[in-house]
Amino acid sequence: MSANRSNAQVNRLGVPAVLMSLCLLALIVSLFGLFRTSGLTQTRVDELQASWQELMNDGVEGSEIVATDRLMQSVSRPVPAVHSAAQWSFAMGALSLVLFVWIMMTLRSIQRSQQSADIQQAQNDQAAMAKLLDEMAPLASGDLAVRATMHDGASGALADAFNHAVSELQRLAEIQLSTSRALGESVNQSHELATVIEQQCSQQSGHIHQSSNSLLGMSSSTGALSANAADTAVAAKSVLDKTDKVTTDLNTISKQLDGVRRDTDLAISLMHSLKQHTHSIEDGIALLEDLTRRTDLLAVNTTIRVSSAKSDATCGDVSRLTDEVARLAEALGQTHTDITTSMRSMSADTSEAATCMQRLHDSYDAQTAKTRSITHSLVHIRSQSQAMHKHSVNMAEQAVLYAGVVKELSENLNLINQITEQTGQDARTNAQSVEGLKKLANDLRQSTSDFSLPDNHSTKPDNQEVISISRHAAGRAVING
Amino acid sequence: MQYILFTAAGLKLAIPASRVKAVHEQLNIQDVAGTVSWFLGLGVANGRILPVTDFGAFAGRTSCSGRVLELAPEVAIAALQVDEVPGFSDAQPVDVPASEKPVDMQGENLYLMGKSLSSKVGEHLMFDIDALVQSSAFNNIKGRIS
Repeated sequence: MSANRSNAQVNRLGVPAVLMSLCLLALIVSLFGLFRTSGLTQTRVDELQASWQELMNDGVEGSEIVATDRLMQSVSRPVPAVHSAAQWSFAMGALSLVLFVWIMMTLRSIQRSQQSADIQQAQNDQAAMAKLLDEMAPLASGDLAVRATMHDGASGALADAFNHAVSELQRLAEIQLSTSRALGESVNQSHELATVIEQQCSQQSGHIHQSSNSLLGMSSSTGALSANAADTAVAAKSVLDKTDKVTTDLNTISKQLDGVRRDTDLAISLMHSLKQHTHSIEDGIALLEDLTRRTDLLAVNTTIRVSSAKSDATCGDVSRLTDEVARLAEALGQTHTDITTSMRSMSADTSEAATCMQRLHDSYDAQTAKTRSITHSLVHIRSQSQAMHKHSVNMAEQAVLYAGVVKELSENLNLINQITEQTGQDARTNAQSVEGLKKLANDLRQSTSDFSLPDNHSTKPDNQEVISISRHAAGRAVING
Repeated sequence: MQYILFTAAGLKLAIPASRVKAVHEQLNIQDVAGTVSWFLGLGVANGRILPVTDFGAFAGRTSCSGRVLELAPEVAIAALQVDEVPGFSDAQPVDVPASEKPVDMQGENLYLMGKSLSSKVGEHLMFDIDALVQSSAFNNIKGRIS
């Protein structure tokens, strides 16, 4: 409506303004023509002045007089445009004055109509504001379902802003209500969680206590292990020393066995020599046997001869000789038998002794091989004992380090236990604090219950829709404002 | 009277010492072709040739390898190879009962006299050396030529 009124005012001022503009344009053109004419006249006067000056200086010639005359004629000729231009300028000035008066009167008329329109507008706005206040009144009692129905003018913008504010307030109330509910649930969960954390902290404290005790046991075991490793190192050192002593004794035994072997070799060679001597003796025995046989044969033949010659005178002497030969043969036979028996016994003993010596020699070789094997084994045992001693010392050192680490772990576990107990206490404190928070959430929900929210299904729009309506209203309020 | 004791092929025998001239040992004996196996050959004893008979083989028992009994010349020019001559005995021969005849006295050409004599080396059977040398089996040495 205001725009239409403004357009009408502009239309009323258009005609005199255009006319006044044309008059002013014509006045400017006439003034420009006057200025141009004045310039032309001045040029002609200047030329005349120059010609007159040349005449005064150089004398008068015919041609110059003619030219000056022509100039004087041109100067003396009237300029009709100047007169016309002056008339036009006067006319245009008068017309412009008239038009100015017309414009002023038109403006006075417009101002009066504007004032009356403003009064009417104020009255309308006052009525709309009263209606708006009536519509906003239920909000004081917490009714967030109230809406302003004004749409025009400042009251419409104010109504839109009010609706937007109420929508935002409704949204905030709903958010507060849902937040209080969620806060209540979260508080309950936090309370339960704090209770669980407290119980778990208690259990964890117990486990940590058990772990600490286990670590203490491990520390004592590690200490015992270190002591055992140290004892093992001492034992390995003892084994090493005894191995060295046994190695020395074995070397002595090996040298003694070498001496025994030399003696055995000498004994074996002596036995071989004795065997050779035995063979020589056996040859002598064979010779003695032959002699015995021959003597026996002699005795037999002598006896036969004595038996066949009983009648001879020398029979008695021959008989005694025969008896002597027979006794000799018998003694030789007995001696041969004894020597043979002794020789066989000696030969058997020699053979047995040689066999024993050979067995002793073989046994020596076996013992030497065993001694070497034992020496080799002792060298291996010595190296293993050295390695075991080194490892035992290292193990003892490592066990000491581990004992320190275990002790440090035990201290850390004690610290963790303290932290866990502190956490349990904090959880209890947190549960108590959560109780306060729960009370605060209840208060918040109680305060939200004072608001009267529209029904979600009938009057209350969706949250997203409320937001869009409020945004639209806010946009309109901004535009109108 | 003395008796000479000898063993041959497991037999312990005895003959009168007067029926033996000498006892030899390691007599060098040369084989004679065309004779029986128990005839060992001819040996030389004290410059005389002496036919030698294996008594054990002749008796149908094992061969003998010991001393050689050279018989007295009045008995025969012959010699018997026996195993051992342990000695002499002065004991008198006694009859041997038929029931006590040793089982191992089996053999051929054994001219035993049915008597025995005891000595320190054991019981010896009396052998009839004269019957032996007079037997046709002892004197027939002709054998097959192999």
